[in-house]
Parts: sequence; C-alpha cells; structure tokens
Amino acid sequence: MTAASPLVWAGSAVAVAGVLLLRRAWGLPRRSAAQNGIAWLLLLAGAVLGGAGNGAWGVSIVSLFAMTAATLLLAQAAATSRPARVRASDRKAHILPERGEPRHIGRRLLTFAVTVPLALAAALLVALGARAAAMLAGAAEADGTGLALLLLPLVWSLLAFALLMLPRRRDQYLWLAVPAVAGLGLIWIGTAA
Amino acid sequence: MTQPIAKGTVQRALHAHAAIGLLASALLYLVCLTGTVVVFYQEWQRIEQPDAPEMGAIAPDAVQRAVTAALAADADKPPTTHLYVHMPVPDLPRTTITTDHRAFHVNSDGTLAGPEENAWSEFLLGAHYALNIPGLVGMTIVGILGVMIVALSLSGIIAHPRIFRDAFRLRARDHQGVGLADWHNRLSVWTLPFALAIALTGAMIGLGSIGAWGLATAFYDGDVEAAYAPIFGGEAEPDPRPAPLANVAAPLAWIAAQHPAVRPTYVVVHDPQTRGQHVQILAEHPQRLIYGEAYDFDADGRFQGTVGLSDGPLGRQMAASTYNLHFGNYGGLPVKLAYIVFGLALTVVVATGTSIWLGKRARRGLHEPRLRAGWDGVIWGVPLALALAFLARLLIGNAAPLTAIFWIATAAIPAAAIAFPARRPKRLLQYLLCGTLALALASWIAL
Repeated sequence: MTAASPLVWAGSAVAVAGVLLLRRAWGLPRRSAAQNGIAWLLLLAGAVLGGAGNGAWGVSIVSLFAMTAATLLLAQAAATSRPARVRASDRKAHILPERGEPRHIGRRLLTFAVTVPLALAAALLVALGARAAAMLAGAAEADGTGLALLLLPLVWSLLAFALLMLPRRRDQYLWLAVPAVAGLGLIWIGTAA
Repeated sequence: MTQPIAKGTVQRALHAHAAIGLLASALLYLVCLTGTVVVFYQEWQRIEQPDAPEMGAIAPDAVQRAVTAALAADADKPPTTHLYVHMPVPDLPRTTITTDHRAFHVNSDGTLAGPEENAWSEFLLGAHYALNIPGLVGMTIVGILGVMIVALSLSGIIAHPRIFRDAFRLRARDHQGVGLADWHNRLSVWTLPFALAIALTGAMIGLGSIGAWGLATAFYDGDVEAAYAPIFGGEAEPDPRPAPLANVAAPLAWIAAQHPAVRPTYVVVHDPQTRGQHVQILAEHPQRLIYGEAYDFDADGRFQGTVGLSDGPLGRQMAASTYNLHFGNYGGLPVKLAYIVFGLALTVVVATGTSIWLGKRARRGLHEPRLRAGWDGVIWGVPLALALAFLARLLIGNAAPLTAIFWIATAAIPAAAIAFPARRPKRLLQYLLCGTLALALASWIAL
C-alpha cells in the first residue's frame, strides 16, 4: 500500500472530507441541499482520483478509507448516544401469518419458484443474450464472457427484488417473460450470425 | 412534507426485505461469519503450523530441486497432472509444493521439510466457499446467498426511506428494539459499498459454474473448458509420453530479470515429466486488484506469452479481479483489518435482521420462545462450533474431523435450544464461547 500513487492518498483524503461533510449536513436541523451536494461530490471526486491514480485498486482503497471514517463517526455516536425514549417501529412485514390468519403455503411456494429458479433462468437468458449482443457489436470474446458472468448474479438480484415488489402474479410472469424472451432472441440471432 | 417513496412501495419493500432475509438468515450468517474469519487465511496457516520453514525469498535452483524431490517422493503414486509451488510472499513467507496427492513444506535450500498441515485453514475456506459440500453444489448455494445479499441491500434501502438521513444516528443501547434497529440500519448503510462488492463478487464466483454451463451450452457445443478459455486461457494438448522434468528455474530467473516489479506467487507445472508439460508462473502485480498475471513457458523454460489478465480485454481483467476484491488480499494487513471490521459489521447486520423481526412480533404479543431460542442457537452456536473445531485442531492435530465437529455442533446447538426453550440459551452460549476461545488460546500457547 505504501507504493500507492499520491492521487490515491489525495482521493482518500477528499473522500474522508466528504464523509465528514455529510455528517455535518445530515446533523443540521434543516436539510442543506448545497452541503449534501458538495459532500456527495467530494465522495465522487475521491473515487475519481483513486481511479486516476491506480485504477480499480485505487477506487477500492479510497472507498475503504471513506467507510472507515464513517465507522469511526458511528463508533463515536454509539459511545455518546443516550438510550432511546421511543419504541422501535412495529411495522408488519407480513412474512408469517398472525394468529388465525391462513398460511397460504401454496402462494408462498409459488413466490419462491418465481423469484428463485424462474428468475435464475430468466437472468441466465439475459446474461447470455447480452453476451450474444456484445459479440455482434464486435466485442472481444473475453469481454462477452466477462459480461455474462457479471450479469447473471446482478440481473437475478434485481429481478428477484423487482418481482417481490409486484403485487399481482400476472405482472410477475410478464416481468419474467419479457427479459427471458429478449435474451433468447438475442442468443438465437447471435448463434445464427 | 411529501414522502420521497410511496407508502405502498415502502411496505412491499419491507415485505421483500424480510422474506429474502428470513429465507436464508442462518446460512447468510454462517457465510458472513466464516468469510470474516477466513480473511486471515494465510495467517491461520502460520498459527496452525508455526514451526514450518519460512523465508523471504527462494532461489530458482532451489525450487527446481524441490520440485524434483516432490515428484520423486510421489514416484509410487499415479502421475501428478498439476504441480503447484506456493512461493514465499510477505503474508505467508513459506515455499510449499502441492502435488495431486499431498503437500510438502520446502526448506530454503530446496530440500523437503515435511508435510503441510493446514486442515483448519482449509476447513475454514471450504466452509465459506461451499459450506464444506463437495463438488459445485455448495459453491452454487453460496453464490445464491450472494445474490440474496444484493437483493437485501436494495430492498433495505427502499424499505427505510430515512436510512441515509439518519446514517450517523446510532443509539447503541437497546430499548424496545431501537438499539437493534439502529445497529442494523447504520452498519448496513456504511458497509453498503463493501456489502455490494463482496456479495456481487461472491455471487460471480459461486454462480460461475452455472454461467459457464450456460455459455458452453449456448455458444461452445457444451464444452465448459472452452467457455472459460477466453478468461483464463485454454489447457494445452497433453502428450503423456515420458520426458525429463521441465525447467522451472529458468522461468523464475526470467521473471526476476524481465519483470522485477512483479512478485511470483505460484509456479504451476502442467503434466510434469511428460512431453506435453509446460510451466506457468502466476505473478502479483503491485497496486492491482487482479490475482496476478499468468506467464507461460515451455518445458525448456522459454517464455511463450501471457494470458493477459493484467493487460488483456476489460472482461478478462474484471473476472481476474473478483477474487482479491472478495477476499481482501490486495493491500496487506491494513486492508485485511478493514475487511475484518466490515465483514463483522455485515455479520451483525444479518444477525440483527432476524432479531429485529422476532422483536417486532414479540412487541405485538406474538411470543415465540422456540424461534427466539433457535435464533440464539444460530447466532452464538455457529461461532461456538467454529471455536470447538479450532480447539479440536489444536488438541487432536491435523487429522481431527473438523467438518464433522463443526456441522454437528452447528446443527445440534440450535436444535437443543429449540427443544428446551424455557430459558434463553444466549448467556450460556456466550459463556461457552468465551471459555472455548480461552482454552484454544491456552492450548496454542502451550503447543
């Protein structure tokens, strides 16, 4: 780490300043858009400096500095805070039935099937479709493969979350079918070309 | 004041957040905890076998002698297809040779020093990587858990509209669930970049086999090796006819002369002592996230080229960066310590998530002593099971059945807690954990 570019150290300092300013801005009685904006810009500038200094390695180091600064501020808040006088939120998450409520086992199993195996299948088709599209656009084979390996977990996460946010089953099937069919179409075009 | 996110959306996000979290909370907790402990994978090896020979560097000729000796020691066994030499690095200054059958420590003069005994470190890595399940099933399950953490991070942000605004407010002492909720929300906000990086890279590693299978099926006539080749390079055609051992010293000397800034971490001899053999040197590049660049040499030690992990297409560099970014071994001890702190924070976030849910139900009058006791059994039982496995390694030795000890304890402790829920087992398990850790420390000092 000692051989890091000076830009990484500068970026780390700027990012820590961003965290400190956020601490100040969020502690104000009224929201300050200017201070919030500058703080986020400092965090962004820190990452850019880290990237300019040592690429992805530099960005990682800068973000570790920013998170460490925030953790120290949290530790200070934990040490000095008084016990709360209010109760925590009792919002229902509606995961298990309350007394007397039906269990809806079939509905729960179907939700599992939609968000786990079916969403995985759809995500895989999207990832492979993206690889096919990248290759058609002239990307290197390694870029296409790397893109597919990255998109598989990313698209699955986003899809699983999005599906759970949809209140109607029909909408869930639609959200599964559209990306899956699009991915399948791209794979077919890619392999036929 | 207008709500930034509609109330219905927030409620659905909370439902999604709780559903995903509760579905796999125990496994998520186990993977986060073992992931935190395994950050010190190299240091654990030094703790396990403190008397193994250590060195700052080793001469190329000594490596050649050691490889020859290791293959000679295995002469009565089936031929090794891949021989690995772990080169001394600052975090693990040891030379170790691994054949298809066993592993040896090497003295600095190239003589074999004795067997490598790192069962605890390997068990720990196996628990985190694949829940100790052989084959690809365990890795895939862990990959799915990575997907869940990404989805939990997203749903958590939507479910808590004030989560950023309150990001520095931490009422540490619990009162009616406030402390637990604050710890959960604050740690999750500030470890968000870490959690996303760890979860996404973990999911990429864990789901790699599914992705490669898909790529092979769609584009490579089912050939999985061909699907991976654009990233990691292909395997050369084997030629099993016997031949003198490849020159391992020349490639190491070439690297030292041509690329003095890079640090060789592994020497791999493919199909040693056959006509198809060739040598690959994996070398770390400073200030890079990639796990290294692979330098290829023929059997006579002539440089053939690189795989291009350091300067090839972006997709290849990205794929080669997932491992270091996930395990935190790209910046020495300071980065490892940061990973321990943030890994512990992520573990606390997972643990408190289920505790918050149980607390809410209790405050609504739904007392579930078995569920509560079972969750105590998970939170304190998993670290206790880890400590028991470590103690067994120290007292019984390298042959201790660590996987069996860990998984039996991990299953039995929550099961016993659920069976006898009259008194919460939390305090008892905390005492047992402290006692086991103290005993392990005393045993290690005494050894």
